[in-house]
Amino acid sequence: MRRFLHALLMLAALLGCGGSMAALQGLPDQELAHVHGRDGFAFNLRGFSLDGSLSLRLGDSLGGGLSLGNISLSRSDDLGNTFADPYQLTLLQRSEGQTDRVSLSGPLNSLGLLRWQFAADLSLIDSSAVAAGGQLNRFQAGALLLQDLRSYGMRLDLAPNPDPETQGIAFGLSLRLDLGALTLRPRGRDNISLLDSPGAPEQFSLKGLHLAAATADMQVGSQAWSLANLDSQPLLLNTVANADGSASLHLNLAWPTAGQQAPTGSLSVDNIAFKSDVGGNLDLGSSRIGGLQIQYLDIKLKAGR
Amino acid sequence: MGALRLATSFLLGCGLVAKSWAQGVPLPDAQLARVWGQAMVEVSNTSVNGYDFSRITLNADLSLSANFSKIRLGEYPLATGLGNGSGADIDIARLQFGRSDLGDGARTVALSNPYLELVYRNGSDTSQREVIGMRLGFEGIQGSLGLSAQSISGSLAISDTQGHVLDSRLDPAGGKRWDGTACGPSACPFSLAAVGALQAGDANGPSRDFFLSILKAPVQFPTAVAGATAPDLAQAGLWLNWRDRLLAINPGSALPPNLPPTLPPLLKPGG
Repeated sequence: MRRFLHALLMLAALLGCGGSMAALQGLPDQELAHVHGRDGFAFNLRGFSLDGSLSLRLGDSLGGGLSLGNISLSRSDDLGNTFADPYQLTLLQRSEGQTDRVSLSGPLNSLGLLRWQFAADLSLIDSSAVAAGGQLNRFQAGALLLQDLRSYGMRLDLAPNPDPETQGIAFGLSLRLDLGALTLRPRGRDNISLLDSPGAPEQFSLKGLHLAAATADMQVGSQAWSLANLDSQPLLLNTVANADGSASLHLNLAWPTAGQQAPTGSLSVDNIAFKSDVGGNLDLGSSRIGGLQIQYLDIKLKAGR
Repeated sequence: MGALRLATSFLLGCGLVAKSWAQGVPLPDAQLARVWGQAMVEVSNTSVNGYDFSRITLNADLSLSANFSKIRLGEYPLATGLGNGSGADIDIARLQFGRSDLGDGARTVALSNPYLELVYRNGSDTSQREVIGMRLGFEGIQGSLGLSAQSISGSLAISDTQGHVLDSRLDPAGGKRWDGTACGPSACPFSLAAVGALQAGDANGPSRDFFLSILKAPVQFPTAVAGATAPDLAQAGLWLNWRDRLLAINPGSALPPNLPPTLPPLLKPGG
């Protein structure tokens, strides 16, 4: 809790810093109008850590679904760049006739020192017997860990969908991510700061995941991959009506603007491995998808069956 | 002023200010309560043959146009005597979802109900619980694809329009790092590299048995879709299962193009 407060204080300090960087002057109205679309602020975290009995469940009204319990989330710092390389929330003006956009950009994290750690207890709860008077079938699947997640220059843009006939929120998203390991420890989390904890004799892990824009020869590059772009290939989030009168949550990644290609990303995994004191170890080596080009994606989420 | 615009943008985006996307009708509390949590995620726990399966299904209909290239999954040396193939369990030069030369109907592939299934042994014993692996799959796939593969570990059956079937069950090595040129005493009708245009699903419905597994031991997965044939035993490593309603349109021909449209689509998103 103390560290969380510290993080909040950092945010407050950064907000204050923005106002004290230059001597303030009054602006005439006419000049002020030109400032339109440049509003925003910068913020950052320091010593961020969240631990406790927080649980999330994604599931049905009968109690079934996927549950993440005892969530632990923390981030390490780049103390030399807390102020120079912050998160930035900005309102940006777009071209004539287009709505303004809200842009959230993440630190460039060029030294890779900003590393997120996540751990949770995974429960998988089957509710199929409940309707017939049975009980929930709860399976404790172990601990799910994301270790050393690094983001470099992430950017998320939001704006109202420009088509007045199709309401919703349009997104742009570009990412470059490295993940130390995605690990499942079926007997509990043990030491979550270690990729291979001696105290966790059983685990399934994908180590060294890298996602970025693809290079010309289809390797993971050093630039962020633009999965969606507000101007050329927006991602729309809204609801749509079904034939039976119900509504569905709906995601739509539009075709790229005529004449343009969808950006190509690349994904690699350094190693996939099983470690076990009862079933033995197995090393499945590395894996990669050199080129990932999503030209169109429409997802209509349905109610339970 | 900027803050006002920011707030307005959010409100417009959320549909709180402008007219609604459809003729909205208020829901009575009782009805609304039934809407909550009819979530898109469904969990199924089963125990079969000493294994504990937990399947997480996303109840969703997807339409996808995508191009994947240089796919190499599971790059590790096989045990001596098994042959190393091209050095990876799955080696696909090009996998395309959709094609752009047959009209708008073929531009996207319909995918339904993607799922992730975890496999454990001794699931109820907290000191002996062992994770065996997982699989990712779709309950249905229907549409035009393009495939050029060097080798695949898995259980595959691809028919052609002449009634020939390229079947990994005929591979003397059991389908591990198979390139579609070894079919036991029979001659393979075409190789995996020559598949080219591929049609998933037919007039009877979508293809129902696609999954990719990562396992440390062979596992007999349960059938994911009622009425579909049980899949073959999935082997250790990375393993692709796809046998149901697959047709190679013209083996040996070039991959079909899969380019974005040059004109804006007429159909509204989600329409």
